[in-house]
Amino acid sequence: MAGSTGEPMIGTYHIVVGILLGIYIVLALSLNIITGYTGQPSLGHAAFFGIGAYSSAILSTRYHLSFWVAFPLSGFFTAIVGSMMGVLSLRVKEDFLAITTIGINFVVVAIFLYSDFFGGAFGIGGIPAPIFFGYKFTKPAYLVFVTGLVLLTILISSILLRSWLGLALEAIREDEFAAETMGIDTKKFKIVAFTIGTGLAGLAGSIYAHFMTFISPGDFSFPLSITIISMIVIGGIGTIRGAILGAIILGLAPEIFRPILEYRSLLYGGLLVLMMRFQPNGLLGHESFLLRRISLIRKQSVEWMKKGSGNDAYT
Amino acid sequence: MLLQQLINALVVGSVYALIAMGLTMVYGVLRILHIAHAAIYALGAYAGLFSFLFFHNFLIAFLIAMVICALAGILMQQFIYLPLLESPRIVPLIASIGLFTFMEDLYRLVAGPYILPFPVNLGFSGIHFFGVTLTSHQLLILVVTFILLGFVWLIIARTRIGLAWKATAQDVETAISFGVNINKIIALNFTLGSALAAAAGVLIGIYYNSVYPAMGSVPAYKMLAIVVLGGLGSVTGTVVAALIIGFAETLMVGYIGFILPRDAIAFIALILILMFRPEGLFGRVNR
Amino acid sequence: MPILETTKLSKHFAGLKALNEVDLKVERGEILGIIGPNGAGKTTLFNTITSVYRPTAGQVFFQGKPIHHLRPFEVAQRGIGRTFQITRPFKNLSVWKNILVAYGYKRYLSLKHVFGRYQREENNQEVLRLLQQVGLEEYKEVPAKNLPLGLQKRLEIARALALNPVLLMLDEPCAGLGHEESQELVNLIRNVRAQGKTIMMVEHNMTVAMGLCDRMVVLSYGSKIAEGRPEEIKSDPKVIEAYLGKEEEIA
Repeated sequence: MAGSTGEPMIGTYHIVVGILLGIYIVLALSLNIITGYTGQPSLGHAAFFGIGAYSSAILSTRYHLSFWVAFPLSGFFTAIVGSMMGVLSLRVKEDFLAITTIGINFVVVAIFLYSDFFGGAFGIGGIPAPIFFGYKFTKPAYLVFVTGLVLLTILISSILLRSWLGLALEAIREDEFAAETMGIDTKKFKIVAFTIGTGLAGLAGSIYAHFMTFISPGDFSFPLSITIISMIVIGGIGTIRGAILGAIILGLAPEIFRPILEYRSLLYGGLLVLMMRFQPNGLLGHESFLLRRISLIRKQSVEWMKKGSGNDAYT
Repeated sequence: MLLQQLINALVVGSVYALIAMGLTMVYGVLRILHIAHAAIYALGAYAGLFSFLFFHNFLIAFLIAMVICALAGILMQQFIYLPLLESPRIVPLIASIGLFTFMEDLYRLVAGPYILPFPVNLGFSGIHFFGVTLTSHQLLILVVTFILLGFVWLIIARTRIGLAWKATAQDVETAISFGVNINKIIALNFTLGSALAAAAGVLIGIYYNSVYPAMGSVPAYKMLAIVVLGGLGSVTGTVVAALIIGFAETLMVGYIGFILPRDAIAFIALILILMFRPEGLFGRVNR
Repeated sequence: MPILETTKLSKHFAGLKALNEVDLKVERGEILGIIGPNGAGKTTLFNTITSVYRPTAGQVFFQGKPIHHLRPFEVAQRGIGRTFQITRPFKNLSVWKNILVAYGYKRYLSLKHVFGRYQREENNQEVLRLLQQVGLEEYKEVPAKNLPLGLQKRLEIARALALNPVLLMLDEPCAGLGHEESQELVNLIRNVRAQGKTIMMVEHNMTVAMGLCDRMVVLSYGSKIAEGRPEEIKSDPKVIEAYLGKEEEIA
């Protein structure tokens, strides 16, 4: 069922949804490192997504660098800016930090919007598709690439979670002061968390720019930051599974709610309020209702199996 | 010309102060960033408009708007914020943002997405002096803001309940041990703060002759910047910061010619100040 | 050479002299008590020694080397472990993980090790040993926020011990504990000293302090007013005067 161009026609819609979903997952997981593991409220993550996107767009359209060079450079550059944000977080804490990150988002978007270097309100267009051994990326190719990026992000998140670094970050989240007296250089580690988290968001931005071929400042504005943080909060902040679930739910929601597009914001806002009110740990967060149900079911099936095997050695 | 710009700036700053006051009062006691406050501001505009259309009396409409918003504030406090007092701080913040989104869309569905006119003939004209014009609306804004903020100042500085408020803002536990009825103080904050936001909504509604669903989005996050700039929880700081930002925006745009994008000005100022004083201009050190 | 020495250590806060030229020495292997009425500056002393506060004047030497310009985490790395008056556990982490955080102190400095997994057999054994030492073994999976106060106090000590410290600084370890719990904690502290650790403790509970400490330093309004063995301190008129007029702490 290929079209005349040789690309499969069926499933294009799903592929595109899949690509965007993958990008959302990377954004959620990367924010999770900063806000979930390290407890630093970052409400401007979309800004770093945008910095990555614009970097890649400019490097490839103005300086004609290949995607394969622009991609890592964008991530790297975003991480540098992110590390400066990390330094900022040393000075400004908690609620102040939350608001400052909102400010960063507004300021970054304003810079994109008002400076000619970034194309102003018209954004940047004509961003070339990556070329792989002479072949231009097709939509399925993007999906494969994004999937790879998702897996990489999951890998990095897991390594962090199980490493001493992750343990240090969690200690900082729980009680920064106590963590410092346990020998943890909280300044250094906070900067590291921001660097890694924003760097990954920058990579997501890069592939997004090339996929969309055209980006404008409005793509990276504050509401997107809220969506990203809502993803991890709804899914279960601080957990990998939570971030992924949250990204899937909120990423797919616009598609699922398409018939009731009219009421989208209403439902979205209502969902956030209800979730925070009744399940603030997130759907898959620690001790969540869902998790308890699942573990209850697990326990019951183990009991059931024990009875079935009649093996008293287990009791 | 400069004088005119200064007057304009004062008007802008006054309204900002009116809106931001509610935000800082809630934060002072509950330590919650009440973003839905901007939705109350918009509610005030709508309530004022519809009351005016119904009663044909501006003063009544104004008061009704304030009452409705005070109620809305209390409801939010009871059903959303109080139950979330013990949660990690990101939780009420997200809830507040969700509530804000919900309400804005509700306005759109109920009152329509269009800009509704709010034409009120105030019955008095503006004044002119030294080549400067103060329109009747601007005059109203300055007078009302002065009265309302003065009222708040009086309550906080001169009454027993104001003393209790200050004590609670300093240290909740100590205040409780001194017999302060925390629930009353919290309720007071929401009532007063929301009423002030309502007033601002009505004033802006008639000033620009427009009421529309997304009108809360404009001040929503800028108010945060102002409140943090002034030092979260500091009433004086909020007023000062509001005026500073009002001046910065107006002068940048109107007089110096605009160098920085208007919305970002508040945040740029915020980031710069926080670099030197991380607790805000009047904030308490050693948080 | 004393393990810890402060010379003319002062800390001022906007006109308030919280610490005023305090000289003290902590000798190896001893239990030194810091006592004094409320507001005497005991916790400020702890915070200044561990570099949470920068001294306004004076110096702190640990094992002969100055530490007053270091950051708190460096002080911990050098071998000073402390507990807090109001416990500060890592609330949502399990007891076991709480201790592990401190246990990994060396790893945080090395780029090579910081990415390594902490879930390893050798680590588990060591942490288990610490848990057993403070009697928290059966609670190892419990989130720290669910522990009752007495056990949280033990967790604090276990965490500080995980740093393999030369000097252990305990800030009111028995605060808020009942008589029996205090006794158990006292025994724990004695065991810890028996392992060769030097201990410096602030304690409000006089019975505990008198019974446990080899020597005591008495602070009042930020200045050291007396120093010596418990028997000497008990009958020192300056000390008695400092406590009279404030609530007497007779446990």
